[in-house]
Amino acid sequence: MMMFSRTTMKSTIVSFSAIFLLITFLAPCQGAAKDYIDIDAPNFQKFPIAITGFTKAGTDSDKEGLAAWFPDNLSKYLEMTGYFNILPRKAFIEDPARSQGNINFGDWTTIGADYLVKGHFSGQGRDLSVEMRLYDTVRGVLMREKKYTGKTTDRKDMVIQFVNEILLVLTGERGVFNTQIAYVQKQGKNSEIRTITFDGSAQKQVTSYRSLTLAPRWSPDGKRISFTSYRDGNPDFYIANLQGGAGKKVSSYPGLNLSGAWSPDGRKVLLTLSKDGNQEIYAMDSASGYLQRLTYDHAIDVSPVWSPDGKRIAFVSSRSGSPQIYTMESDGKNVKRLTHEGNYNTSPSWSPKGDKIAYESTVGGVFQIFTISTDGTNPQQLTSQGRENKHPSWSPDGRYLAITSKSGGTDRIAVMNVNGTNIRVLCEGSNPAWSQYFQ
Amino acid sequence: MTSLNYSGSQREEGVRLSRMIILSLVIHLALLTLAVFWPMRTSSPRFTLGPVYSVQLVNLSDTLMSHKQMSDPLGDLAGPSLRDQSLVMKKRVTTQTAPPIRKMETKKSLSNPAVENLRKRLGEKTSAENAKAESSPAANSAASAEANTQLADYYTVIWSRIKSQWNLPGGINPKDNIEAIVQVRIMKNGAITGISFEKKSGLAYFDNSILRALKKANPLPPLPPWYRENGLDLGIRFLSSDLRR
Repeated sequence: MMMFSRTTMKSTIVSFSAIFLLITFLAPCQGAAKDYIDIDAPNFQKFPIAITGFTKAGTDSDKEGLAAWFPDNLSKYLEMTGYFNILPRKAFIEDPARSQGNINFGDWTTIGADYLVKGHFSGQGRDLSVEMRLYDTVRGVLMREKKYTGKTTDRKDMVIQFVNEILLVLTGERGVFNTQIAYVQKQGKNSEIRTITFDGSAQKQVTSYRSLTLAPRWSPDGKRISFTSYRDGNPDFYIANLQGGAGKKVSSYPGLNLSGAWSPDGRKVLLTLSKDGNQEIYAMDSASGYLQRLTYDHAIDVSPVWSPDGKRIAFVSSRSGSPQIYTMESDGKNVKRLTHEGNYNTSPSWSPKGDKIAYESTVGGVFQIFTISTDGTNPQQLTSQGRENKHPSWSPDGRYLAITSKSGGTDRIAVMNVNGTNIRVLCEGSNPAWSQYFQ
Repeated sequence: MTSLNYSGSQREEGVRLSRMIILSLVIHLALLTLAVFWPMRTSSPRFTLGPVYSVQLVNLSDTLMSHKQMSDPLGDLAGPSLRDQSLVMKKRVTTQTAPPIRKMETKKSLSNPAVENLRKRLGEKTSAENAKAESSPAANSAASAEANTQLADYYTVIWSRIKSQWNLPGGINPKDNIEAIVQVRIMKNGAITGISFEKKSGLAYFDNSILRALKKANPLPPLPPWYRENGLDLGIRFLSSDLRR
């Protein structure tokens, strides 16, 4: 018993000594002073990227000039995103004869290219196979490598797919090349609804009503567009199926039947109706046509849009004397005024990430695009004076806005990055509405 | 029976003795632990986030010039919120006023692209001060404060160097406050080694932009000659604050 007690004591002493030693030796390590410095906000600089001519397998001549076509089109689509500074080919110092397929990254960092795209293609007849690679020249690593095979006519898709890959790896999200923008195009005294792709390449006519048709809104699945048309004399509400068909009249109450946004689940459509005397906001069940009145005010209530979670609605009301943006819950309760600066704030559009609302506001009598946080703080002007900019509509990734930009008396559809830079005109037209992604 | 009793009381004594020894050890250990860790607790900011150097997005040189005091980097470590100070360049409470020459040099260090010149000046200055410190033991504490100030100078230079290399296009960040913390070791010759993330941002492109900035900034100017250690361990916090105005 005593022996046991002694052994216990010994082992206790040994273990305590061990702990003591550990503490004594470890403590200074833990306590070693380390300083921290803060680096706040990166420089806003576009990604400097070099795109070399593509090489071709085999000895056949490159009849279609694809060796230059690929870099030209990669440049074009990358530039469209507003995130890239494409370095001019004449600045390149790489000697292809000397490098013999190996990349000397110093050749690229010297000219300021942080990224490099190289490609190689082979083809027989109408078949085409293309390999494209993205390198980080600073770190000297391959970031993405893709091989596409198809017909020569698929080459634009191949380029766009690789541009999406580049965007994904460098910015965390793919581009919005597979989206469309619906808009109103004036045709004499009339106007029709049309759509255009983000790159401006393909346009489509949706309505041919030969009357005043306006306010297009996409269904969330991208298969239908709702709008208002005076085709039968009264401003009635229609829904057109993009697969075909002339469009169906859904609401034709006396007075205004103005198209509003679709709920994120596609089950409800918001409308502005004046059937009860003045403009009020209603939610219509898109299947049954059941109407639920949401606003009750003597003033005008128009332009309703849903929050991305479908829980709230932003709209314009003149209940305070001037048009201002308000928000309410989806059943019309808990109305809050959002904008307080400026005396004419209209056309709200809720960002897909849910944190901001874009709208138009007058600055010196001219409309400009603003964003405001959904708690009513931090209003920011995105466009500047010189021309009138109206009707903001967010891209589904929340990185761009489509707007109506007016100069020289002509309305044009333009897209810009959400920080107000890189404005690119697509076509003549007004009232843009950006679709979701198409599969 | 007696012998049994005797041995029983002896056992009791033995147990009591061992209990006493254990108790004594526990008390000693507790006191020792307290003695070792208490200073760490009281100066805890030193061991968490050290001096914070932050910047305004624009008017860098103006900001620097408007703050006339360069001071002990340990001076204001008790500040409750590091983030709250993040728009202020070296806003510190200090009891020590830096010699006028230092602010001149700092000003130049950020406006002058030739960082090497600054390094040379820093080197000359520090060697002179080292000599002073060695000559008089009484001047040691002052010299250590001075050393910290000089380290702050070095931090200013490398801060500028790394920041100038950190680029991202505007408007790509999904939210306003993205943060990543990187641990680096700066060798005597200024080479950055041992880059590791203490905290990742959760966005691969953001973390990559940091690695790229460090790679482009490498090598940094050599450590000040008076700095005795082989290398300097440093934490760098990168904050997006993209839309801050």
